[in-house]
Amino acid sequence: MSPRAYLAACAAAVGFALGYALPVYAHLQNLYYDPIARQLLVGAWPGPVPMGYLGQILYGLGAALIAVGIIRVVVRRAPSATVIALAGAWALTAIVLVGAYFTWNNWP
Amino acid sequence: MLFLEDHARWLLVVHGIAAATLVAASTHHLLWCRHYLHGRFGRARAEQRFALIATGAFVGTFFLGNLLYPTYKVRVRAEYFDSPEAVAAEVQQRREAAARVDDPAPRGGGHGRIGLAWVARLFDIKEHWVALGCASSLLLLLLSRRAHPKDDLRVLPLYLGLSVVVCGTAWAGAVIGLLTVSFRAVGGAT
Repeated sequence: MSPRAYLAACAAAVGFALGYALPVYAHLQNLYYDPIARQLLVGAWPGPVPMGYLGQILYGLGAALIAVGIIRVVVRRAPSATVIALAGAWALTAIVLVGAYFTWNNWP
Repeated sequence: MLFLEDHARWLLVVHGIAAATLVAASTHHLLWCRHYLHGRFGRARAEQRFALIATGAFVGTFFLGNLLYPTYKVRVRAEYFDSPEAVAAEVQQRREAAARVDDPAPRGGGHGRIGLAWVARLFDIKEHWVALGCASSLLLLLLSRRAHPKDDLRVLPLYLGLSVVVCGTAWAGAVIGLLTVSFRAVGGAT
């Protein structure tokens, strides 16, 4: 197995999940697509119809790339069993936490 | 005219077929992974193939869903789910149609306004979980090629966990998607 690939996957999972939630949680500027005007907008929440979903995915991908980059720079030697277990646990926790956050906020 | 609205009906059909493939492949993947809990890796190659099929189906389904999303957002969500007047008008229309053919009237909606905003909110929850599931499927594919549990058992918890996330989000997406379509889909009469 490649320990660096494993840690990169864990970092990507944490980065994507947190980056995906970040613009909604922190009310950051986001990329929106207005399906009626058929144009892209950048800014704060413009109303119920424009879609911020694509912007969130871009935030997630950006955060995942940054997290993987950090891991590739920082990790120089084979990780211990504890690091492998913790990294895997954090990856799954981040995914479930962000899913739970959106479930809680949108619960009918 | 909205983005790809003309093709929304056929996109929805293909989206449904891709989703069925995804549910089947991700369920197979999870079921085959259970042998790893007992240290049996004899079917690892087939399991890796399912990881590839599930990821391809997830990315494809997700992409098609995103192409349909502008039509859903306007025609289904804004014009119907978030509009109690539109729902009430349709209930009235259905009652009149039932009366014309001497059928029992459809149930519900007897108090004037009916809200379907809860369907839209449920769909929002699905949307977020499938985005996380799609990313998880890509990571699962990476692990299946570069850090498989057969080579190092310490990877197993994450591997199984991602498989559960992929399978769970695929099923949730399919069920909530079907539930949503049972109320209103993207294609109109024209």
